[in-house]
Amino acid sequence: MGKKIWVTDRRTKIIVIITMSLVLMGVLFLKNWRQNVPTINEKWSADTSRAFIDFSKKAQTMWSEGRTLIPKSEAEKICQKSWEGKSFHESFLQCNPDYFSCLLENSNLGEFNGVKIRKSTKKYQMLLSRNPLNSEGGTEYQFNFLVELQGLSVERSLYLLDTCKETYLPQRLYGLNSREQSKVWEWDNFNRHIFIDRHLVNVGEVRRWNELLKKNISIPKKDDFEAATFLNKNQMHDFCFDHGKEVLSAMVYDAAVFHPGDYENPRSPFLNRSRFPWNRSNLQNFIFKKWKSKDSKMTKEECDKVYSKECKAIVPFKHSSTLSNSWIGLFEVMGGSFEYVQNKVDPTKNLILSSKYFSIVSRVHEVGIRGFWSGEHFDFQAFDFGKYKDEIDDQNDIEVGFRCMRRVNE
Amino acid sequence: MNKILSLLFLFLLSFQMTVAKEASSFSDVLFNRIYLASKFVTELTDSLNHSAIVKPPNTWVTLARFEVGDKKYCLTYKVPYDNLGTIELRQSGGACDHFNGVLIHKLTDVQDVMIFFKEVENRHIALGSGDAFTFYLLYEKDKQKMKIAVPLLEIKGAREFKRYGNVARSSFLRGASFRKDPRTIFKDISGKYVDEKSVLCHKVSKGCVDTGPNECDKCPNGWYEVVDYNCKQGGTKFCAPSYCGDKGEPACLRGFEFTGTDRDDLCIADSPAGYCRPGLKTYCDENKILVCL
Repeated sequence: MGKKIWVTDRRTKIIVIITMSLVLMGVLFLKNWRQNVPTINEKWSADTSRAFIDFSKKAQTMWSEGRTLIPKSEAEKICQKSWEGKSFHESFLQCNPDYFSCLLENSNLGEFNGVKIRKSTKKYQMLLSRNPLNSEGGTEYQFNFLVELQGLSVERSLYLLDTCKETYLPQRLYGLNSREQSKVWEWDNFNRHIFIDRHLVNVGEVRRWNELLKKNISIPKKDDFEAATFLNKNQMHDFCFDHGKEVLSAMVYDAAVFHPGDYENPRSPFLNRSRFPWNRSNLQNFIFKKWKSKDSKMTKEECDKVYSKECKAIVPFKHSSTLSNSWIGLFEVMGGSFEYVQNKVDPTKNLILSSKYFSIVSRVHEVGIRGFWSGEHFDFQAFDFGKYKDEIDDQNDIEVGFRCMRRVNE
Repeated sequence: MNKILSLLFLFLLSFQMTVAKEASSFSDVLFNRIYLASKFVTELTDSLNHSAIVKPPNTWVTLARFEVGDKKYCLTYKVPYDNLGTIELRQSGGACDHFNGVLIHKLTDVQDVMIFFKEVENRHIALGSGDAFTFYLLYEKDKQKMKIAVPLLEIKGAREFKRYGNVARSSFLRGASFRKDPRTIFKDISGKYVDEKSVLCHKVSKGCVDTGPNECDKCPNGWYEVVDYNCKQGGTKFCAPSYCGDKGEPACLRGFEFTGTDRDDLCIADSPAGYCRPGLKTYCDENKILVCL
């Protein structure tokens, strides 16, 4: 009898304990539920997002510097293989969507706190200013990645702006035209923000634009880093317009290339009109010395600054070079191909003449010296070189490049 | 019997630990909701980046409001009085109001709450080193100092308008975006001004008054400016393309400071502030815009 009572007591105890436990669990569950406490998904989402941010910092460095985080990596070798032995500056690799994609595909992107990230097989998307997703005005690119943790993966997008392409024109007083003109045509850009393409538009950029907007422009067999020198004037204007820009004007070109001399004073009453982009003193410049001595012998270093007619026999032309530069970081300003600019002040002067078509002893190698291009084709008849006409001896395969500029809101 | 009780005890302990672990992930919940916010607003300007929020006691104050696309989140704090404080994250339909909106998550029994957000790297005695464009929430719970850091990836600062400046706005990761709000309203592409087909995106009136917002970012292919008044914000603007300098079209912009003179109204015949193609002259039209004829 006594034993039976014990059994009953034990059963009662167990039932009481289980009931109390269930009640306690219920209370905790309800408290939990009321507070809307997250599930494992919140932690998973936060962990993967944090890892994706860490990855993006590295990716952004790769994008803007045009290299992997390990110097001279296998990925860099693979992605540059088709250009081996060719002469181009590494700035071409910066903010370059095709090269960046190649680096991503050939690199081990690694793990970020246990989160695996790899490039999606989807091709990147170029977002021009007209694209509803473009928020910056400049060209943006959408890259997709697969982010994986604990066997679950999700696709994430990273939008990268081409921050390498443009340079800012400081606000100040400027002058148009060369020293030849007796009166300087003055203007200023106070309260206006102008950004200019650093380099001439290259073949890769035209190819991507041509593919995206199905322009059906026949692109000659050239490397992506070469300047696009085969578009007619209307196509150049279309290219810039489709990128939310316009073709660089002669006045902005002069502003960007004439060394201002007194940089600290944007309202300086004296506009510096030195002949060359690099210094105020004309006499010290190697071009001026060659003019005086009529000595057209060029060195490799001089060809880096002005790729004149003589340079072809000395050194291959370096594409996307940063060596022929101006005071605001505009590149490819002297020598090489011709450059078309729009000029509404004097429409008969729309072509920068300093180029590989003239000897270094020609006076065309001076800032502000311009000729005319009809813009329709590249036959010699489409050009007017004025008094420099007899100095040009290669009348075939004339190349004309261009670059764009744009205005930006505060 | 003892085995059963031991198992029950272990089960309860593990359940309690799960709850504790989940409760500690307020930072995950906050992170997930706000890290893609494109707007961050706080009215606690006196205490932001500076001091703990201690008044008004026993009252709900809004620490910050975040907008992510069409979603709005409010981070509110009940300032301690007799009891310790509470921080709540709510999804709101409009303004932040503790009694409205859906409770997402909360932290109880906290005090010494501070918030930090700067567009540059910063140091503070309570924060230590702080990253730019990162929202920091500091609080004390169970006598422990806690810090939640959430980078606000889509908050954009200013551009560097200087030589060699970067065209991208400053942000947590300059030039990079992680989420996009599509621009749903686009302006049309401009036609010729003379045909009355140019598309206005920013109208500036006499006295440099903006008649409407500057919507030139909605122009699909950029914009251009005309000569009208001598204003800090520039002149009236139209969507691209520009036919400036052509007959009947606005004059191209030349600036005005180069003249060394000063005047409010630049729209006068032969105004030096604009230029035309050779053979044309500048005139002021009935819209008070300098045109070429």
